[in-house]
Amino acid sequence: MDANSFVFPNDPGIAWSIMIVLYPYITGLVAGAFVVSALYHVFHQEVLKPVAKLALVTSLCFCSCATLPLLLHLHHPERALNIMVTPNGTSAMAGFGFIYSLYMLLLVVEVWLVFRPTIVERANSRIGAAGLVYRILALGARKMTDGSRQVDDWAIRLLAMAGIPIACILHGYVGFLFGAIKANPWWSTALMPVIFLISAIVSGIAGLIVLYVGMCWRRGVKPDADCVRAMCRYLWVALVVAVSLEMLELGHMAYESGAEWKVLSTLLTEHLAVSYGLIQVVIGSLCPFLLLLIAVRPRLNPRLMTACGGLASLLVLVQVFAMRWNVVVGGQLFSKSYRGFVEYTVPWGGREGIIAAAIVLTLPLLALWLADKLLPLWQDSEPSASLPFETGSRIMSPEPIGAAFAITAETPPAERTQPVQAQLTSPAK
Amino acid sequence: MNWKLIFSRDSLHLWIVSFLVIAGGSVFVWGRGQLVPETYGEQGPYRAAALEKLASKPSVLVSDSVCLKCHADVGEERAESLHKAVSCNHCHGLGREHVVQAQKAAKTPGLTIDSAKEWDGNFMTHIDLFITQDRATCLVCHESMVGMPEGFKQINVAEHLEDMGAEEVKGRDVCFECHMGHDTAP
Repeated sequence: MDANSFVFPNDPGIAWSIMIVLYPYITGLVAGAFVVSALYHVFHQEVLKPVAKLALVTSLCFCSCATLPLLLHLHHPERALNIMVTPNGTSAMAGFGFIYSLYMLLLVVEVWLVFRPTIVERANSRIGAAGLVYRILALGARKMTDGSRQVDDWAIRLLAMAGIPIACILHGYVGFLFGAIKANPWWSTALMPVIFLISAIVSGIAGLIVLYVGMCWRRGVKPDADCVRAMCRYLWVALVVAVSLEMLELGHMAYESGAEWKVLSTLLTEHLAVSYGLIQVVIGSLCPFLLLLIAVRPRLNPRLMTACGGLASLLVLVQVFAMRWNVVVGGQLFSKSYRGFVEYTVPWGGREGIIAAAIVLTLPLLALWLADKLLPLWQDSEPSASLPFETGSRIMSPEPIGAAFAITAETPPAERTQPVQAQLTSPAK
Repeated sequence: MNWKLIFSRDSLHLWIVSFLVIAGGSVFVWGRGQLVPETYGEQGPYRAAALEKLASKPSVLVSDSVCLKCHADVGEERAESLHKAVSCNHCHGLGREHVVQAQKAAKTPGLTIDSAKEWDGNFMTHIDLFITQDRATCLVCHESMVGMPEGFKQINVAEHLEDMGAEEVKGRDVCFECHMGHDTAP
């Protein structure tokens, strides 16, 4: 072949930037946080009750920002809906709009149902602009009865059950996209969706531990030690599975020693030596593995356990980000003709720079902060009558639970603003 | 769960939500129907009519043979050069308007042709015809890059300019201190 007949180069640089690293990172947090909430709502892991609502709202907040990195990367936000208006049935990417929308819808409805007791109570008791917001959120249903509570419990469990496979599909699909690119030996493996999914669960649990411990610290309250220990236990198991799968995949490639292994081994030992070897494996996997082993010891001092669990979770979050980086950027660093490498330096500014990435990662936290202002993420800041979320026996309620919320628009404003506990002791109107 | 509750007033809120979801879905389906362009999907996931529209546009490709009709000297200059494989428009732009003007000028004595413009070194800039003594044009092929065959002439710019003792290291036309464009010698 006459090389001078072609215009080179064919691999001038990387096309998928840090924004495409952030996208699976954020959707991973979404899916992982949802799985934690489902462990409580579906599998009745009561020990996770302190974080059940936080997990659900975290999932919603991160999901609401999941498309931002894609919009920043693709430009032309005015074309965003084309993926749903004129989808290409033969492209896996075309599934994104529908999967994402379905999951977002499910999350919104489930969050609404979970917080409905609070919404109804505040719609009936608050006045002014805040009251208007809650009245809009109540969608005209401003009574809570035992029957409606039963229906809510049933619907929440149903949505949580349906949400587990949808959350898995949402994130497994991201791994599928990479795994299906057969021209890239670093991506093209059937294990990719599974690895992405398990690492999503890892990042979701770790993110929740960090958020829960951080928010408790900010509020000046002690985290629930049993809850943190249980999450550490789940995190440890998920981390072991995720890292094992990653190592199995790598070991498989090395053992096969196909034509691509020469360039892949150089990629790992030279170009990804820090981000893969040091950050992903040593700092992000080995250290949390040991720290979590300490944290899950039953008789460990709760403060030490929380510190170990929190630190391990922070490191795991770094590990998962490094994993996304190594997959997305690493897969573009080498020539597809296996002839060499390109360099990628993330710019500070610009639409796909470090500052933009930091803003994108901060926005879900800002949304979480706003959600915390709007709805009670903590058990002690919500109406006590709305504590039970399981069917069957009700927990310590001085009056029939429905009575607490049977406050109608005719309730005098002065009475509406009274503390909820006071309303609990007065008969319903 | 008592299933009778589903159809009682206790489930009113669920029916409201269900109605909103169904209404939203219906609006989406209706809206999509309005937004999908005609002929979309007839031959695949694209507008079939786009094929005819594209085919009806005049070709913007000006081949070397068209250029060399007038610029025969350049053809001779490149005859033995490795650059004979590089098409004119790669370094000088599409030249479509230029060719149209040249064809008119050939039929109309006295008609002038717009002179070529100075290129700004940005490949996103659309200029019909430009003169190019810009390093960017050379480096798009000759800068050391992944995927090049070993025999292809590649340079590390900084090292090469230092080795050759270039006078204007940062100059855009620094390559032309030693090299010609059409003839690759030396």
